[in-house]
Amino acid sequence: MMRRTVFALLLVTVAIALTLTTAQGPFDQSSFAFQQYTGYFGTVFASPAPMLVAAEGTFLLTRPGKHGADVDQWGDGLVRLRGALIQSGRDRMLEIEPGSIRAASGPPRVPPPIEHIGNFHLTGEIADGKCYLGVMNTARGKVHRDCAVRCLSGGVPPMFLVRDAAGTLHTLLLTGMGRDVLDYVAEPVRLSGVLQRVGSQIVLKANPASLRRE
Amino acid sequence: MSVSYQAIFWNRQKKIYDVTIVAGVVLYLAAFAGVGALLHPDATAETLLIRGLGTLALLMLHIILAIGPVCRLDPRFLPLLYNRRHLGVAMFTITLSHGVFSLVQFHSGGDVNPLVSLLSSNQRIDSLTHFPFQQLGFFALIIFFLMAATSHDFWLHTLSPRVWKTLHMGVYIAYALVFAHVCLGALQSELSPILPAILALGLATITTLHLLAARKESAVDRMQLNAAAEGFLDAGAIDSISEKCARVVTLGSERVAIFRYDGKVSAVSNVCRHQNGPLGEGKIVDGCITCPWHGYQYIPETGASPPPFPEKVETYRTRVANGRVWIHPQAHPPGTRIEPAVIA
Repeated sequence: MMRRTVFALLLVTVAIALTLTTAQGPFDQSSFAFQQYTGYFGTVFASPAPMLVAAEGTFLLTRPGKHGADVDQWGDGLVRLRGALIQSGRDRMLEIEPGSIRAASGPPRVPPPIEHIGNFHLTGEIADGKCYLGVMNTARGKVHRDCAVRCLSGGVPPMFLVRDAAGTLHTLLLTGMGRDVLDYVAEPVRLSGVLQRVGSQIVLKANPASLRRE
Repeated sequence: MSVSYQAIFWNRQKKIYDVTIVAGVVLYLAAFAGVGALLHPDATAETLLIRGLGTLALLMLHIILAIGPVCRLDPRFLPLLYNRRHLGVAMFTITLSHGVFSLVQFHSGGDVNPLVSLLSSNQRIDSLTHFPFQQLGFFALIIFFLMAATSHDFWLHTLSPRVWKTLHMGVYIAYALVFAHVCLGALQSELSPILPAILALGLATITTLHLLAARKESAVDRMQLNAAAEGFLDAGAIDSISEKCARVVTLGSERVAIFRYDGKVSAVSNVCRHQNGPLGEGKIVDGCITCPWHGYQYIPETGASPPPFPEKVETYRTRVANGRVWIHPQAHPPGTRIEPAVIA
């Protein structure tokens, strides 16, 4: 009898594992080329968030771990760097290989053009750009809240995730906010601000005083 | 049962028990993470591992909590109980792995110490929806650590059985913390109704088994014994007690095991000195009352373990007359020799 009991327990164990793993999701489509660094050449800008404008497009920048990139010393200059690609749809970010960024010669590129889209009142969720774009999956919602707080506290650019009427999730680079966002991460919140297109990146230049919980 | 502490040796039964645990762990993680990676190619490996370890630990905790009442309801399951502490330590190891991976994933590499981050990142204790669920899991892990670290008999004797048992009853507090950890964490993010359904089924199973076991024991506690001369109480027909087995009765608040063996009857406290195991559910083996949980033995007439072992339990006077067993409710100090009643 004991042998049958143990065998049945093992079968139930596998059945529960299969049931639970099947029930997971859905997962966002994103990727992170962990420690697969490749070379990039372009101009770095510190505003509206640390980014590299290269021939391949616009890339937000971070450092390894839960730290944002500090590119102030490079001005709006040309650089060569090596980075691991983090990507979700058309949104891209590079995790810079430590010590790999070098000043390069050549005519600097002009800052990415800024197109004003308009003033908006939006409801969505504040997430950290690095995890959301692919370092972790899933990287939004309550389970990821603490990690997002840590990343944003370390300087990773915040993202505002907004669904349109059709249910499509849009990723907005959130600027103009201070550390106050840390108490509002991964919760449904309302924000007002100016929506802009900076290069290929949609940016919400938010009014901090408008931040409210839904 | 020992007067000194030695390195643990694995006999055949322990080896089978432990190999079964390892097989279960490997099967579960392979099924969860392996099939999960195929079904959800966008999920990161760390996420699947953390979820696999967490759900496995929860399943093992349910099995551990079910073993006790299942064995009270049907002694044929007792082999599951003998090495339950191995399952407990294995569950703690899986839980610790889940905790460490989560700490590294969610809290390390930032601008503060990971443990500081764990305790301070989410301060929404004013909201049930946004409550800091990771801290609940952390406190449960501390309880599991204390239980695993004190699982050796050295701590049982050092702390005393009462303190040790109280400490290990903390598993129910840990279960409540883990339950809240899952309800306020994963269930807030997952859309499928399967996880809450399985969690509810687990809680219902554990609660039902404990209630059934408690009902079985309370039937013994409620049984009224008829008084007779000289303060002896009628404990039932002698024929109702099988040879080398016991009948358990309750005297006041104490359970007493009345054993029948070799044409004699002796009564001792039902509570084993080792882990408060139910002696009355054991048998007489090699002339000694043998606890069904871990094999601690006591001589029926004295309630003392055979030399050189030091354990002793209380003894009671018995009589047999007109086919019935009578017991005096006054307990004698542990180890006191009481002449057994002879069955005519």
